[in-house]
Amino acid sequence: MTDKLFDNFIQQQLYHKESPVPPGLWDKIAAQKEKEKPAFIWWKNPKIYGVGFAVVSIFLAGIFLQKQHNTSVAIANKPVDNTQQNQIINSNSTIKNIVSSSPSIELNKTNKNQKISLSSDEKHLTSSISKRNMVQKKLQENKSNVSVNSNQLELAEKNTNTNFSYFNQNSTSPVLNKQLDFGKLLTDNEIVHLGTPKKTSNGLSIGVSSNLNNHLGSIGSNASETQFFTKSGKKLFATTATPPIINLRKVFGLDDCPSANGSFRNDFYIEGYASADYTMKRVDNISTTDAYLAKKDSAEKMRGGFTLGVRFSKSISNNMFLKSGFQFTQMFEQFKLTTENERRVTTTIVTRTLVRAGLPDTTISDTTSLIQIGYRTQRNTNLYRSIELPILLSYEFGKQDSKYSFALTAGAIINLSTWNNGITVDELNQVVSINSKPTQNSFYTHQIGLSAYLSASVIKQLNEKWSFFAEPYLRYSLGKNNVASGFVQQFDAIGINFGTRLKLNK
Amino acid sequence: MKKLFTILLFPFLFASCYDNSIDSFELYPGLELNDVTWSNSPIDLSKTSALVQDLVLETKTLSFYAANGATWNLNDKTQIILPANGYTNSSGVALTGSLFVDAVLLSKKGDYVRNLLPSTTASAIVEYGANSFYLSLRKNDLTEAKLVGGSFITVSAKDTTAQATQLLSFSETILPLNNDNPLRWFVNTNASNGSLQLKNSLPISAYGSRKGFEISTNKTGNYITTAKPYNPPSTTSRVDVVMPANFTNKNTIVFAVFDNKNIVLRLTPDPNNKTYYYNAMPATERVNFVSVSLIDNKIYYGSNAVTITPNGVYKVNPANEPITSTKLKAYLDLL
Repeated sequence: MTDKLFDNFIQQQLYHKESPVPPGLWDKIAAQKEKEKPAFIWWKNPKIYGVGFAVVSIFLAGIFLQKQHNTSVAIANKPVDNTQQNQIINSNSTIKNIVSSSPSIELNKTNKNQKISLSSDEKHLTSSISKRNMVQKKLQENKSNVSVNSNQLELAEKNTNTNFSYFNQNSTSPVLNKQLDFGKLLTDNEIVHLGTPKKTSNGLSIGVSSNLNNHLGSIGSNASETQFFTKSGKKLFATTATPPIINLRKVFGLDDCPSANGSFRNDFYIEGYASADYTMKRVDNISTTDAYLAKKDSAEKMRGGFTLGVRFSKSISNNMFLKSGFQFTQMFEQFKLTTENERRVTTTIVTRTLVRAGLPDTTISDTTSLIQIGYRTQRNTNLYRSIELPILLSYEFGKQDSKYSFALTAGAIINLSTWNNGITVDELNQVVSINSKPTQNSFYTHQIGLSAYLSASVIKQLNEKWSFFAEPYLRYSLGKNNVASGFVQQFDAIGINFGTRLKLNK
Repeated sequence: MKKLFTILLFPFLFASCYDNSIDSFELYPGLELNDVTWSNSPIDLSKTSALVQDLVLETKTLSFYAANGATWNLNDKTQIILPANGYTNSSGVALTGSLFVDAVLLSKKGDYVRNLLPSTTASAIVEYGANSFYLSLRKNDLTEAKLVGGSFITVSAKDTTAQATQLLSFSETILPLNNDNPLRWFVNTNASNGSLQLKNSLPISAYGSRKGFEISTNKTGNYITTAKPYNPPSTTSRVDVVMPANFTNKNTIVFAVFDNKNIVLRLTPDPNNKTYYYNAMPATERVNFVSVSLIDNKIYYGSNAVTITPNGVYKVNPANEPITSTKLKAYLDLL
């Protein structure tokens, strides 16, 4: 104990010790923190914002289109019997109200004036003869489409028979296609009030109105399924349906869970490709002479190019894909200019020794100019490089799992940035550099160009994840690739992309 | 698969760094400017003829009747009196009727350059007087006419600096002909060829009395001058002039024009050293080296004013761009 007295003393002194803070220290620290803010240079680049915005917009648009497709509601007046209902159900997450005596009417959610709202919050589908008549009246008046926010129910009604089909698009289980045949249970004056399906620890429970409850008798459940019974105790159906939940994989399209009745593809790919291009150049005269452009044209020949790119491909229907990414394009141009009667002046240093009779040798060093006349040939491979943003829509033929498939693709390629290296001839017949410079002194000024893109591709499935594709394409410039004083250059290309694509979802 | 990617991508990567920039210059064969070699032979006579074609001074012509003779005021300083009768052809046959006299007057140092006429004799440098002349007689058909013995043409020429030491001299062609230095002067020692008289009052009626020389001569077809021997103020030595490679003895002649004296020397090309030289150049003189070149029918001119030092080597760099004959004449008139 005593041997630690000193240690304890030191420990106590140090524990309570407070060192004075030098004046201005915190200001320095604060100033230093200001300086140490991460300098994301690219944040300052407005192009990056534009590109990011474009990419995000593309994907949001794709998702939106997909949702739109999923939530369409069709109402047909054709009588549908029970055997036909499977076909109705196959159109995912729709409600079809089939009324024998009413004309075919569809209400579209997007038409606000004609919207008939069935609350998705309550997720109740209230159906009664009176209400149905009222709805039918509205439908007849509006002769319009209807969509329902809750896209999980399908109602098929035929005469006095009312068929309910509960379909969960998020589920792959065929059990979800179970149908409630209320035709045998309900009369026209009876109200069916089906409550919101709720996820319970034992499975699914559905709120049912008392009237329906009277007819249904009871809803039972066990750990794996929900069962519906009539009063007489007859089991209507059982389901293991899973209620809709927020699924980020689905939101981003990474979920690949087609329904048993053949739902659309929900695939997400990344594609890497490279192509050899045959390039063409168009030159439009704005204010220069035809003779100059003819001379320039005779001096410059396009010599092909290549493209390297990566793009993402997202299915927006069974066969339709939205594609976007980035690609690097480099075009080669052979410049060859021969100028006649060219005078070349070369400064030379001539050292020579004069041998003169009777005099000592004298060495002289003479700096003179040597003039020569000939023809000068200047050759150079000019390089036109671009970073581009393709936005493409592709329609793919063939089955998803087939070994070979065929696709047609069209869209736009936005030229984000172009820079050049090389030489050209100006209006004074002088050879000048076309190198891109940070200042405004470049021979060509660059503009954000736009090209139309059209391609056909053959896709070979290598395995479940990987595919190989060959994609002959044509791109036609719609914008101005290079703008110079007096003329504009545009580049077109024919090429064939070879690439692989990787399926990102399961 | 990796190998396939590598093979496919390699050409792209290689091509992205590909650079075949070439800037070639091919000489036209046969162009004189591209020929930088020197010749061991004198400059071609056709070259010098072409060179002086636009440079030589204007020849003035007077038509007269042989029986009457004529008095011809060439300008305000010079009068030529042609005798009546006494004309023959080259065979000695008397000529009557209309005859022609051609005359050229040289008065400035540049005139001697333009007519390729150096102020040297066989052994010395001479200093020109105020005027030199070229006189010739001919018939209308260009056949030569001569004066018979005892008949003289009288030339009265104003020369305010005329000195008694000046001597009547005639030009002669150096034989065998050397195109690099074809002409020289010889002092007249034969009175039958002519005489020179210094007069303080020349009878040039139209312009009053003038100091000058009265020259009597029957030698036609020659340059005539009144020159005095030049006495170098110091020792003489060889000096050389070097020129750019394009200017060779095939296309260029070089003169040394004295600043303060009426002396024009033509330098001799040295193919071995590729220089132009003069063997007896007096030191301390202020001299302007002048080059005149005709290359591919284009005239080039260069000059360099120096003070001579013994055994000096000097440079003349003609302008890279050719000039017109008119401009060359203007340059030479300023010498």
